Amino acid sequence: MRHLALAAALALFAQGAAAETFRFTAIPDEDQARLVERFAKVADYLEERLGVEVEYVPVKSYSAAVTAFRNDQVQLAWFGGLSGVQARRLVPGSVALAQGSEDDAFMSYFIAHHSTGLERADALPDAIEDMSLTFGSRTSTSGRLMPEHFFRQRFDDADPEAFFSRVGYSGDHSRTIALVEAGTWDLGAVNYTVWEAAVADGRVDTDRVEVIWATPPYPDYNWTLRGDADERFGEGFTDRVQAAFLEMDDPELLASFPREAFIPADNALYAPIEEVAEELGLLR
Amino acid sequence: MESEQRRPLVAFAAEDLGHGRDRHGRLDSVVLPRLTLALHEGERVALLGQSGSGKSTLLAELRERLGRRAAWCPQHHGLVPALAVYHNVYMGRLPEHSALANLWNLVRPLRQPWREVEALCEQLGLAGLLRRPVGRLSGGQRQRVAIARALYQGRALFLGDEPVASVDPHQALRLLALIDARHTTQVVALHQRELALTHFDRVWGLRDGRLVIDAPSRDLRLADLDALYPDADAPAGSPREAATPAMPGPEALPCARGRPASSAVVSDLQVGAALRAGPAMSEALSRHPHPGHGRHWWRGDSTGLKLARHTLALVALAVLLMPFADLAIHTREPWTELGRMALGMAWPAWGSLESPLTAIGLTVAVAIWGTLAGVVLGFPLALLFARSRLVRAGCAFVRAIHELFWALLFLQVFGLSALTALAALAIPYAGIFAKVYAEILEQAPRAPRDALPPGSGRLSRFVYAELPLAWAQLVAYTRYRFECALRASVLLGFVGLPTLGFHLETAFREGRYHEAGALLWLFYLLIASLPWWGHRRLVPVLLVGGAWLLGPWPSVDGALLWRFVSEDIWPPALLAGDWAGLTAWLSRIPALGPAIGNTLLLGLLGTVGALAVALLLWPLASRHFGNRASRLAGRGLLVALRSTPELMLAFLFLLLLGPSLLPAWLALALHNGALIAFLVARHADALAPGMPGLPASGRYAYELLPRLYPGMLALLYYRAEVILRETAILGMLGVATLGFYIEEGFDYLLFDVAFFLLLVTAALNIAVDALSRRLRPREAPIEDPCSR
Repeated sequence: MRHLALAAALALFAQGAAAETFRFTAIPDEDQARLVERFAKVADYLEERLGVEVEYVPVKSYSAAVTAFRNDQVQLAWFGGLSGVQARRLVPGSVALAQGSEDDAFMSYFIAHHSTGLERADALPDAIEDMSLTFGSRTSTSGRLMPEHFFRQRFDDADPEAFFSRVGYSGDHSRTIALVEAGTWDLGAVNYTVWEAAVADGRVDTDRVEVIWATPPYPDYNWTLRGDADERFGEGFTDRVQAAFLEMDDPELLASFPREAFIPADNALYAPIEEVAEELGLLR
Repeated sequence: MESEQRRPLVAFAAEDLGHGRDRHGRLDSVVLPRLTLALHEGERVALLGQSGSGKSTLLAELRERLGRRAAWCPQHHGLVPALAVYHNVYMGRLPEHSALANLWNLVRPLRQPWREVEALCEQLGLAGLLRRPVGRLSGGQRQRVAIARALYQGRALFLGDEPVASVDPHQALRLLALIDARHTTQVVALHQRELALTHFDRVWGLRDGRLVIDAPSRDLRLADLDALYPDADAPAGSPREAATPAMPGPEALPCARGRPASSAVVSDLQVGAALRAGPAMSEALSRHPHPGHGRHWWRGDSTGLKLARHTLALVALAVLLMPFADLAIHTREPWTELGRMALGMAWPAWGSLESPLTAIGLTVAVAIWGTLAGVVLGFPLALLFARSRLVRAGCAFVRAIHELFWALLFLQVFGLSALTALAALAIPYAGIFAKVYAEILEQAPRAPRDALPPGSGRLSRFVYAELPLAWAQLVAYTRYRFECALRASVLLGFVGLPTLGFHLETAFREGRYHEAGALLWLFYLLIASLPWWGHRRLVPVLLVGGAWLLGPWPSVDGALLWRFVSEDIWPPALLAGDWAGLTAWLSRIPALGPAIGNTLLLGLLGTVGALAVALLLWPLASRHFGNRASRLAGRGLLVALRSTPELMLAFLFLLLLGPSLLPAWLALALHNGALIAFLVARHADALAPGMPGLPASGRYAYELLPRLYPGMLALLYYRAEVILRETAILGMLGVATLGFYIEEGFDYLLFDVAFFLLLVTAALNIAVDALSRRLRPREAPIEDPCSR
């Protein structure tokens, strides 16, 4: 029995060593219809460019993406600003390689149900006090972290829990929009690309819910690679991965993210995010 | 002859005989006070007396003192219905074979014993029945099997408690002759006075616990024996007589129990009657409080009143605490979104599903292998459950943590693999199986075990006289758990395992309701068609197919596992031994008071709500109400309500009613209420209505509900534990339950905080479980553990 177990363990180990597959994931915050199918195309593209077997691993939450990265179950991931910071802290040596051309000046929208009577303004109005607000996922950069940061800036570092009548975490940008549209919550904080896409598709009734404020720009999404990639996949692998993204020009592939193009990024770019997260107690 | 009779085999000199002994060796209840009696070798004694006069007590004492010298034929046979005649007879010599031989004998009868048993059975008129299960024999045949088992023991002494009670007089003579031929000495309890005088050397007559006759039978006349039987119609002052009729209905029992327990000995007769009345009754009996204690002043009340009072207290508590709950309603314009959902359900987009068959396959595979692993882990624990406090505590702990949180824990170590899914199911299920299996085994009738000859090995005793009696219930419970596992398997998709729930949650979250509708319908169909595809014979196919789908066993990284259990889940300050740091760490833990308060409140409200929903809904699916179409619709509704994940129900109500405790409450009440209603309806369908011509309302209120309510309440108390566990996963509504903060801990990757809160949750669950067990009225026995 013991021999059998040993043999099985060895077989598994051998299998792991012989064919090292390069795996990547992406945080689930955009349209996920046919996600596996779309990302399988990205995997094919990378396989062609990198000359190793590439596999896409779907995950359900921001934290699952970070955990998979930390545990080396994936070596590359498309993170949000905060999840990227979390991941790079947990895996020393890992680097942010690229971001979307939109990501160096990303934004969040505060949206409001029409019954609040709020109009689009240059600053968050005082009237939002004692209304109810829903963020997106707790660790979303655009759905929680930066909106809360700018909210605190505007209202003298007020605690949202005390300032608003009720604070919720819908878990997802699409859901935030749906819930504010239904009037379940008065206000919502949402990723601007998701909002724009929903408006463009006619999935949202702008008579009922409208943007009342856009946050200042901040850096967001990024591709992060583990530091030991060169060692494991060959010299210059990191550069080749970066080049593969920067040179990606197939609109169909780019639409998966959805980005116009990818531009270089580095860890230092996300220092502001890290600072804000530390202030809010999301990192320690 | 006279010289032989000088040697007493057993002698009592003014001794008290009775039942149960306390720590100081005193009898709990004395049945035969100051008995003086001697049994001599070579005597054939008839033991006479009314039911309850102490015959069984005397026989039990004789049996104990004679030990291996005496063969024993118990009252009401003590046979194992599920086993063949051969195996029942074979049990007479269980101690004479090794445990291994006994095990093998169950698979394939041993040659030598088979020949012996065959010969014996031929003499008893049981030829050709050796392979037939005892459960399919007539009463007279069973009687003969019981005698065959005693004869097979091959002892010089025979002790029988009414061994010829259920055969005709002619048969009785033949059987007694057979017993005569093989035993030199015998003591046989009888009801037939004539037989006692014609067939036996000596008569012992008992009346109200006193030996009133002890004389050679040749010196006695029938009229002398009549003194043992005062007018049979008189009340006779013995409450046990209430149970004497051959077949008291299960309802009769609480009344019998409700009387002052002056001599409340659970007589063998009662147990026997219970055995005949079926498992429900014997379970009720096994829950009978220990005899002789009259400490419950309310024992005299009727069951119905007590249960009603109990329910009202629960409702009153909920109403009283309701002002503390956040039940605000903010409805504005939910209809567009709800309309989209309704359209999605009405026009499911079958075509847009991504590999639905694989998702279904995986859902089933995870459920079936998770259940199997739970059984394999839980069964050995069930055997230790009653004996080991450690095992009980461990099981309570693993049960107390929701499958979803187990999955989140294992996700950190095993990643998104089949292993995570299986472990997340198997570990809590092992705890549940251990508890329920232990209860089922404990409630199995004890008579067959007591009938075994002394010296039977533990293992042999278990496989012959315990396991077969509980088998049907164990299987039924496991099947029920499998349905729960299917639901849990879907739920595991919510954290990323690629079961049906994975796609369902995504589609639902992103508002692709046509796709979500298709997935939900698929799942409803899967649950509704379970009786067909989950057939016993298909289980091996499902297991093999499931193993293939679950794919190759993922490699486990020991270092990750070690890092997780040794570092991640402990506060860094604790590991560093920095006590000041630990205090700072504790101060950053979210406020536990309100979180625990919210969790308990939601649990209580959910429980009361589930009761209300169950009371309303169960008739919809019961054969006693409505017509074929209405029942089909009712069953469909119950399938839908119990299979729709609570999170989705909660989201629906969130849209409708706005963020507060209310959506969570409604979701819990509907989901769990529908589950209880389904089980109660199934229970109701097994009842035969005895009052024809009642209108539906009368049937509900006067006939069925009184019989169903105790079981329903018991189910509810069990479900309360589950509801409390489920409050944890409704944190997304912004209701700050413990689960809300646990999820937060996982989100922020603060596993130490999450783990600490999980420990708090587990402790809370264990405390509530213990409390509910204490508060649960004894009138609400878990009649059918299979339905939990």
